[in-house]
Amino acid sequence: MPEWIVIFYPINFLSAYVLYIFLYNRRKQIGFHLGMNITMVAAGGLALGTGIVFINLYPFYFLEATLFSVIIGGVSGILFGNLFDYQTLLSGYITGLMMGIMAPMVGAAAYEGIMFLIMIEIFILSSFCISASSAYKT
Amino acid sequence: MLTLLISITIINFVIGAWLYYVLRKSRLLFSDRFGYTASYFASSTLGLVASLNFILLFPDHFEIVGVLNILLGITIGFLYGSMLNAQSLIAGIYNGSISAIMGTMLGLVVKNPAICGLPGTIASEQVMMIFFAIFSLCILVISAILLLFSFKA
Repeated sequence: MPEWIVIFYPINFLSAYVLYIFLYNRRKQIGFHLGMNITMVAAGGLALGTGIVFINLYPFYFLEATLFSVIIGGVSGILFGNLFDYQTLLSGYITGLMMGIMAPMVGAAAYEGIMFLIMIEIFILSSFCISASSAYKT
Repeated sequence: MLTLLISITIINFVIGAWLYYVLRKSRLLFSDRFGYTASYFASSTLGLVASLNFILLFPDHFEIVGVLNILLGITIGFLYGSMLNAQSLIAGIYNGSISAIMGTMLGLVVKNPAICGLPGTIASEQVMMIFFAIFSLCILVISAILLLFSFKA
């Protein structure tokens, strides 16, 4: 696997940060139903990207990949859910945990497939964009 | 080794039963939405943790333990979901069985990493089993703390 896939980390985290700042200004206008879906998309997508890139970079460290992606998913779910409500926090946490457990297994099963990785990245970025545009409309 | 696994399993079930008791005692305070979230949350976490512990305890009989894990997840989801109404019952049963399947998959990959195409000797098998047992305990404790604090918020 080429080494340049490390740049997916800054892209993911920067886009999640932009989404967080964007939502922070509009958090009073978003209802709990849309907030729950936005939180699940953000936490699940971030955990999925992190786990898949980590297991492709270091295939000998399965424990660390699982631990890292679960922590990233849980913390991002808690942060995004804290914008809206306490029950949204619970939904975001459990989604990040599930996705973080599943992501290293998916990445290990699709080892050495660079097109798959790029497609996952496009999917995550476009779902972030759709979340931002749905928050803009309401 | 086996003592550690068995004691962690017993601790997990005690925490789950205590959580059930606390939620059952205050179920008249639930709104519609909080019933859904609590049932979803508790059945997902408990199904994952219980099935992971069972597949680590009995790794040789995959088929029987897999079937029993799904039945256990459905039972946990039914118990937690039957507190409020039909919506939380559906959410509890579905998410409990899905997380039981995922726990079984995680336990199988931990026991034999060659399923996913990982190199066979990542760490020694004992290290991975101890790590994942303690990991399940941490997940359940953090989830129980978050769920108990949700009554105050």
